[in-house]
Amino acid sequence: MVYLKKVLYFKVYVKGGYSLTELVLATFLLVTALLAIAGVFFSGTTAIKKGTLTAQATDIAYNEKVFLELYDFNALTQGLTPNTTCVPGNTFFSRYPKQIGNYKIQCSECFYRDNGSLKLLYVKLRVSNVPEVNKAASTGRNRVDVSLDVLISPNKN
Amino acid sequence: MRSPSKKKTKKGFALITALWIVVVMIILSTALIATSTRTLFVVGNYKIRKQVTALAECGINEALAHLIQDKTWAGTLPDNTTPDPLKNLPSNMEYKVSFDADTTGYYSVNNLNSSVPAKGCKGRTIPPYSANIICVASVAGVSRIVDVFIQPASDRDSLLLVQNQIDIKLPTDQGNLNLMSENSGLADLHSNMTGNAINVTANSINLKGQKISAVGNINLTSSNPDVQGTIQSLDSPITIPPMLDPEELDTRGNKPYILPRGTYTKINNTTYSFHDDYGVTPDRTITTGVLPGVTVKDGKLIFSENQIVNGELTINGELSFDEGAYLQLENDDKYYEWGGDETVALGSLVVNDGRISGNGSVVAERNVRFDVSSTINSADPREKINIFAGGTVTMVSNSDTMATFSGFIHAGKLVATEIKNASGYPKDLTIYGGVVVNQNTLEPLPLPPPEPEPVEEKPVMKSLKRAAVMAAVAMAVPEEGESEDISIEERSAEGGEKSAGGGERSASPPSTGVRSAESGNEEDDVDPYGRDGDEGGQPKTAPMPKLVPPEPVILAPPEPVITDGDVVMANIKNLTIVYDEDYLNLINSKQSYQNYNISSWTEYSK
Repeated sequence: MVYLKKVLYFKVYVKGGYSLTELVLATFLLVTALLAIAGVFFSGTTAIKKGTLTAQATDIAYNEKVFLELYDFNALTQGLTPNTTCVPGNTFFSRYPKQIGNYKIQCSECFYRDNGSLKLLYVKLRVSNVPEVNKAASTGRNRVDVSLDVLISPNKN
Repeated sequence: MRSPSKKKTKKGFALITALWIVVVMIILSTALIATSTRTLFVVGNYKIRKQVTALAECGINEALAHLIQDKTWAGTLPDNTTPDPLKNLPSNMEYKVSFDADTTGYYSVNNLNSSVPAKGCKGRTIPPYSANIICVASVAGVSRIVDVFIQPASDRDSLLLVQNQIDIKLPTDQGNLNLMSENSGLADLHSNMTGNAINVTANSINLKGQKISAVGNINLTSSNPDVQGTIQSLDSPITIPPMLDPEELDTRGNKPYILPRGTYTKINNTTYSFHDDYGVTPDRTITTGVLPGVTVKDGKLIFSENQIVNGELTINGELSFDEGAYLQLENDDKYYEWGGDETVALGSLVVNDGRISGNGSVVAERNVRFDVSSTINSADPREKINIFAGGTVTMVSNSDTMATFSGFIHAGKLVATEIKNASGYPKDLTIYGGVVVNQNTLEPLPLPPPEPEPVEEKPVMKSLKRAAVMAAVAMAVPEEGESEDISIEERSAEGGEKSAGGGERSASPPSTGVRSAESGNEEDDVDPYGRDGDEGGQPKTAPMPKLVPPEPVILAPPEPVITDGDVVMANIKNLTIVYDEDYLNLINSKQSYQNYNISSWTEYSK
C-alpha cells in the first residue's frame, strides 16, 4: 500500500537520492539544448561558409576592378559603341567570362561615355562561384554572387 | 581543550561539480556566440563595404576624367555626363562629389590653377596647384568616404625640351656645359629628333647627376669625358606641351591696352621717346602716365597692365613687367593701309641695350630678340619672365656684365650665338628655369586686298555684253522690207530700265540677262552694230567678238612659315642651365593635363 502510494505520487527514489521526474526532465532539456546548439552551429557554419565565399568573391571582383583600372584605357574602349549601355564585346572583353579558381568573372554590362575629350568607361563586374560536382549542394547555401560597379577614367596614376 | 571535529562527507559533491561544468559551458557558449556574431557581422559587412568603396572610387575617377577635360572643372557628380547605369542606381545606392562648400559637409576643392594655398573641407589646407576630391558614397545604409589629393603629373622633368636638333658649340679650350637642378626635378636636356639629335662640343660637360637624352643620337665632344650624369640615346619622345594663349596667362582679368607700334628709346631714367618710321602714331615723349598701364622708372619701361601691340615693338632700354602683366605682339594684318611690310608688321619684340626684367610674360606671334646682359642676380626669385614666341627667340649680350635669363621660354627656335663681352669675346651665359622649343607653323601676313575696279568697264565685259545684245537683236531682226518697231536707242533705254529693275531681268532673253545687270545704263555707250548715229535701216555687218576671257591673275597665297624647332648655342664661354621647377609652375598650372598623380588617398566613414 505504501509502495503504491509512492507510485501514485510519482516519487521514485533511485540510488543517490535523485527523482525520476527530474531525470526525465533533465534529459529532455539536454536533448533540446543539444538540438538547439546543433541548429545554431549548422546555421553559423553555413553563414560563415557563405560569408567566406562572398568575401573571396568580393576580393576577386575588387582585384579585377584594379586590373581594369590599370589596363590601357584605349584598349579597353576600342570598338565599344559609345554612349549606350551594352554588353562589352571588343577584343579586350572577349576574355570574359574568365575563371579564377572556383569563381567566374563576368562583365555583364558596360557604358562607354565618349563626349569629346570627356571619356569614361563603366563596367559592371559580377563574380560568382562555379557550381561544384554536386549541383544540389552548390545551390542555395553554397552559392554567392557579388557585383561591383567600376568606373574607369583615362587617368594613369 | 580541543573542540569536537566535524564529520567529513561527500554528499553534494556531484551537484557542485555539475554546476561548475554548467557555468563553464555557459561561459564558453557565450564567448562562442559573441565570436560568431562578430565574425558574421564582419563578413556580412565586407561585401557592402567593398561595394560602397568601389562606388566612391567611381566618383573619384569620374572627377578625374572631368579634370582631364577641363582643369578648372568644379561641378557636381553625378551629372548629365555620368554613364547611365550609375545615374540609375538602385535607391539604396548613391554617391556624390560636390565642390559647393555651402550645401554639403564634405566638399572638394579645385586649387589646380592657383599659386597660393586654399582652404578646404574641415579647415584643411589645399596646397597650390593641387586639388582635393572627396566622394561620399553609401550602399544599403553603409557610408564610405574616399578623400584624395591630386597633383598634375608630368611624364618627365625637362630642362631643355626640343623637338629637333640641339647644337651647342663652346670653346674646346675653356667652354664648359653645366646642367644643374635647383630642386628635386631632374634636369633633362632632351631632343625628340631622330638621327643626330644632340651635338655638344665643349671643354667639359658637367651633368652633375642630371641627364642628356634624345630619340636619336647624342654626339658629345669634350676634352673632359667625365660627364657625371646620364647619357641616353634612342630614348622615347616626350610630348611637347602646347603654347599658351595670353588669356591663360592673365592674372588680372583686364583687357589689354593697345600700345602703339614703333620704337621706344630711353632718354633718361624717367623718360623714353617714341618714334614710328611710318608716322602712323606721332612721335612723343613717354613718361609715367602718358600711356595707360605704362610707367617709366629707373630707366625701365614698365608695363604695369597688359598691353597689346599690332606689329613690331622695339625698345632701346630695359623692359620690365609689374606683377604678372603680359605683352602681346600680334601680326598687323592691315599693314598695307599704312604702307608697312613684314619687317615691321610681324608681331615681334626687339629689346636692345637693356633686358627684360620683373614678373610677366611676352607672347609674340613671331620673334623675340632681347638682351640678357644683367647687373643683378637673375636667380632672384622675383624675376620671372615667360617668353612665348611662335618664331625665334634670340638672346644677345655685348657688355661686360653677366648674361643671365631666369624664366621660361617656349619658342619655335632658340638662338644664343652672340653672347659677348664689350671686347667681343665669348662670355658666360646662365639660364635658370626651362626651355621648350617646338616646330611651329606660323601664319603669314595676308595679301593686300585687290585694287578697286576702275569705273571704266573691262574689255571682256564689253565683249560679252556686245555679243549678248547682238544675239538679242538678231532674234528680233525683221524680214526684209519690214521696218523695225523698236529703235536701238529704245532698246538701250529699255535695257537700262530693266537693269535698274535688278532681278526682273530674268524676263529678258537669257543671253541678255546675265551680265548687263551689272553694268546698267552703260549699254548706252555701246553701239552693237558699229554704225553711226544717223544711219538707220540695215545694221552694218560687224564681226562677232571672240568670247575668250583673259587668263585670270591669281596671286599665290602666302605660304606659312615653319620654324626649325632647333636650339643653337655657340660662342659662349661657359653655358650653365639650371632647371628650376618653380619657374614652370605657372606653365604647368595652365596646361591641360593628361594625367594626375594621386598624392594622398584616404578612406573613412562618417
